[in-house]
Amino acid sequence: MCGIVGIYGEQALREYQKNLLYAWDRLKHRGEDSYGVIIQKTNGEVVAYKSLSKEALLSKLAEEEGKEFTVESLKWVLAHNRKASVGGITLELAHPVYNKDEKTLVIHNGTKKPLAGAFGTDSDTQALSIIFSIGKVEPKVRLLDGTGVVFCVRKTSKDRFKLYFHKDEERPLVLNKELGIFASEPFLEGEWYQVKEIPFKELKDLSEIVNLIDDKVSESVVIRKCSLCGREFVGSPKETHCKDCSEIYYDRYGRAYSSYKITDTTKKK
Amino acid sequence: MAKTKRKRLTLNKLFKLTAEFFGRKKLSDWEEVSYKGSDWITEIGADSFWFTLLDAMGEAQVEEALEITVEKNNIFVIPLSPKPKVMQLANDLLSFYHSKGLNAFISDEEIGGLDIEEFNKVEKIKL
Repeated sequence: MCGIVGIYGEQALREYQKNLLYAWDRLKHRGEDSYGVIIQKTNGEVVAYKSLSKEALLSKLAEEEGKEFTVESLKWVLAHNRKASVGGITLELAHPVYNKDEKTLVIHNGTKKPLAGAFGTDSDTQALSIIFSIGKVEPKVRLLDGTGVVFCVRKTSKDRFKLYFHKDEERPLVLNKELGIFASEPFLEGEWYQVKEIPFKELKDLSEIVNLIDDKVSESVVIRKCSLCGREFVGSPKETHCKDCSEIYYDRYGRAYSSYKITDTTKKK
Repeated sequence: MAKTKRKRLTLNKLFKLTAEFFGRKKLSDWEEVSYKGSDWITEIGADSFWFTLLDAMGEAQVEEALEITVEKNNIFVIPLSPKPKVMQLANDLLSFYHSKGLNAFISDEEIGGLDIEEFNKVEKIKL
C-alpha cells in the first residue's frame, strides 16, 4: 500500500512543493519508507529524484529549482511514497524504480510478490520495469493484476517518451479535475471522483492518461469531519459519520454510542 | 576515608524512571505512550526495552523503533531507524537521562542497517 500523487494543473504545479507536503502528510499511512518524484518539463525532458528522507528530497527539489527546472517549466509531476512490502528499504528500491538498460522509470502502489520471484528481481517494481521494457508486447492483464495503479515512463529515442498506465480494481485512485490533481486518496478540500478499473494502456502524454481517468470516474468523495467522533474521513458528500461510527445505537438516556468511542451527543448539543 | 557505594542501575529501574519522561507515574510492558503527537508501544525484555512507533491505524511499525540497554551503569540509546520521529525521541530521551545525572550515550553510526549518509542521499535520474 503506497501513495501516488499526480499534479498537472497549472496552479497546482505552481504550488507543487506545498501540494507534495500536504499529500505526503495526509497519505503517510500509505508509507513513509521512501519518497520519489518524476518530473516532465515543457520541453519534454524527464528527470526523477528519490530519497529515503522526505526532508532531503524536498530540499533537493528546492535546490534544483532554477538549475534543472523552473516552476513555470513543469508539465507534470508524479510523486510516490513507499511502504516497503516486497524488498527492503533501500534507495535502489525506492520509487521510481529505474531500469538503466531499458531507460524506464516505474512507480506503482500494489503488492505482487510472485512477480519478483518469477523475474528473479528484488522487488515486484523491478519486475514491472522488465515487463514494460518489452515495449511492443502488451502485458497480459493477468500479469498486472494486483500491481495497483501503475505508471511507467520509457524513453524510446532521443526526446521521445512513452507512458504506460494500468489501474486494477482493488487500489483506489481519485481525481480532482478542478485542482488538476489525481491521487490515491483525497488530500485537499474539494470534490474528488473515484476512478474505476483501467486496463493497460500505452500513451504518449500524461494528458491522455488524465482523459482516460476522467472517462472512468464514478461517484464523488470529499474529506469531512465525522459528526459523532470528530475525526476526518473520506466519504460521499451525503455521509455524516465515518465507517467506525456507522453502527450507532442509543442508550435509555438517548445518548449515542459508536463502535469507535462513546460520544454523548446530547451533551454536545 | 569512607567509600560511597554507587547504586547499580538496573534495566527495570531505568524503565520505571523513563515513565517520568512520558509524564506518567509508572510504565508497564506493552503500553501505549504518546510523545510529541506520535504514539509508541513499550516492550521490556531481559536485556533491553523498546519503544516502537504506531501508525495511524494503531499498528506497530516494526522497523521504526528505539532500543535502550544498560551496561555497567551506562545507558545506551539505540535508534533502530534513522527516521526523524525515532531520532527525535532518542535525542530527547538522552537529554532526559543526562538531566537525571546518568551516563547515557546514543548510537548514531549505523542505525537499523542504514547509515545516516545513505538515509539523506538523494538520487537524481535523467532519463
